[in-house]
Amino acid sequence: MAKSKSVSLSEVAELVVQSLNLQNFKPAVLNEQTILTQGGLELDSVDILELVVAVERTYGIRINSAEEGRQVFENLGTLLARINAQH
Amino acid sequence: MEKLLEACIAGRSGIRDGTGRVDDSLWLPFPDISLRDEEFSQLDFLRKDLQRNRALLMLIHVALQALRTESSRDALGERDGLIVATTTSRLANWEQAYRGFIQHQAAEDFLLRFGDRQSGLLLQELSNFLKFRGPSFLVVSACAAQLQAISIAHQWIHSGQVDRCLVLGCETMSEMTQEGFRSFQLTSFQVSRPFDQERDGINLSEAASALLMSRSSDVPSIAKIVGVGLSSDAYHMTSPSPEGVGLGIAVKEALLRAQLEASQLDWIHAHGTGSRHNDAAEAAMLSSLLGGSKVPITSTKPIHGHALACSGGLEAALCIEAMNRGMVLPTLGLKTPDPTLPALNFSKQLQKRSIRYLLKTCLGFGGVNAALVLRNHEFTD
Amino acid sequence: MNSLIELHLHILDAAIYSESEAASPQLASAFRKATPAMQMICTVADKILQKRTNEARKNLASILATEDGELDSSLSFLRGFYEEGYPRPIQFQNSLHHATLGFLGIQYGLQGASVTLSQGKGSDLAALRLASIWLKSGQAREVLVCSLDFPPHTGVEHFIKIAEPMLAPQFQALFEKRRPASALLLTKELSNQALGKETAFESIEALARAYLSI
Repeated sequence: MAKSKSVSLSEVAELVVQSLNLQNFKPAVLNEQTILTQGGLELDSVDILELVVAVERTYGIRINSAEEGRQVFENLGTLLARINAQH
Repeated sequence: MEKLLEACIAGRSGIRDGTGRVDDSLWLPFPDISLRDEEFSQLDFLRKDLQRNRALLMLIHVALQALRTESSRDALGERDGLIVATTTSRLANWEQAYRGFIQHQAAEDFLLRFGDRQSGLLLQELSNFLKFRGPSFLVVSACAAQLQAISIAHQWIHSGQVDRCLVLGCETMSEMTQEGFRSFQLTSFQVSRPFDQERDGINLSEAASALLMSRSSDVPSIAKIVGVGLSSDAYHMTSPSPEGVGLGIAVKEALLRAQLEASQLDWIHAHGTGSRHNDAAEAAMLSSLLGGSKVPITSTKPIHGHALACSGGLEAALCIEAMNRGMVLPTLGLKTPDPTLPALNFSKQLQKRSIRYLLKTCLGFGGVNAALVLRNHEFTD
Repeated sequence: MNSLIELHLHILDAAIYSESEAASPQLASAFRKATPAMQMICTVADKILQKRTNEARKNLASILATEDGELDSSLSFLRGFYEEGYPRPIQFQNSLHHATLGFLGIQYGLQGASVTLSQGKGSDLAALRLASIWLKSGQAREVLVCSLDFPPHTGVEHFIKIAEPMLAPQFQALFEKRRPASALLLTKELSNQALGKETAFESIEALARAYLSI
């Protein structure tokens, strides 16, 4: 899978919204600081597992440990950074 | 049952091939029981489509064993009831047909096998085979289903509406189950390690079990049910309530009905799946329940895996066998209890001891909890 | 034919919800991960539960009678997996037949016993029989019994598109019949108020309609 250009914030935000059915449950503005879990989008552990699958399915990136997961899924910015680190 | 008990004592696990599930296919030479003439031909017919009828054959296998080893009344009659617990039913059969449809457009086969999708059909066919027209239940409430079924049977018999109840459980291995638990990162590919500091998940299993229950005075029994408890967490779809509070309610209810203090228990057989969350919640609950009491706690899931809906009956039956031989079974896979868990008396080795009262617990997805207190039949009121 | 008199049940409240009814916007906020069956059970049960205190809800036992359970979610899960090779956790979680009732319990704090029964056309009567056992044994003082089905749709549309035209109508018919969701709040029979004195049992929906006089 060749990916030459980097993924944008809006693409990643869209992936998160689509995978988790957040269309009617998200704040008006999604930016890099948007926290995914408590205090932000309020995603629970199963939502995060769902994102793990979505990220692997879409970008071929595997999150290998709970520790890595905690870092990657902190906010949209950390997620974006991780996805683009592979490109 | 003897073979399973031997395996528990010897520490011989059925989880062997790195897939995290039992590797031996359950086939079924029929047990040494008397079969009626028409039953031979019916079984032959069912065996012609093993893929479709596996769950049904497993249920018939254990049902007949339970019915026909009791000396009198070898069939279910007018004053009897029947309860089956399963979540997968015939899933293993139609999911493969669905795969064929999705991947190869094999529409006819899917149409045929998808006709089996409702679990009610399984109950109906089983009842037909057993020639039973009486009242029955098919409980599908996740991993606590068969323990719930036992508690329902207990109360049903007490109500006087039935004299006996045959409680069956069955779960067959399916791709959905395996892939689903994998997506949750809940499966361990090694033998599971309940309560261990390095536990990393559950093992999957398939099984069928049967318990024939009757009013105490009627026939000699192998154990007596003295208390049952059911509750719900109302907390999360897949994680247990923190500190196992929901399970604690079910356990306390069972103990109350048994008129026992927790310290009077001689053995606790936990749900103990080996998942980080389950074991932590259960340990927290047991610690709070027991105070300083050193009641030994076992999980035998490293030997036989987690049989989901069937786990309650399978493990209760196993415990009864062990209890009657004065054995507290070991927890294979438990080397070093997790130091972050309360210091409980987790049973690592086989122990010989007289067991009068035993507690069995089950937890399931959706926050279901069930608890059962059994008394050794050798002790009277 | 079974008479309900033997079950000694008394109806405290009843509700019906058919999909033609507009969904409540307040409930919708809880439905991000809810399957159609979960939405149906919440909408019908809400009509009863909104009148119960938190304490009453905490002690409430619940039973769901369903023929299809969460088969629709199971098909979604399998379809995603067979088409793309990825198992989706939320769909797996929703694929359990008991997920429907579990979801309701979480929304309303129902901590009593909860059981899902799935035995074809016999599910409704079995649910009432179980309620009766629980009430008689003291397992519960009040039991909420729900009956609903969301027939699997994921497989059908797909099937109809791909399958032979002659097979499709036969398959379609299996999934077209939709029935409203119904619920009863039951307690032990009070003297002289036995249920179903005159008529034999038909369905939970029929009992709910009779109670609501509709």
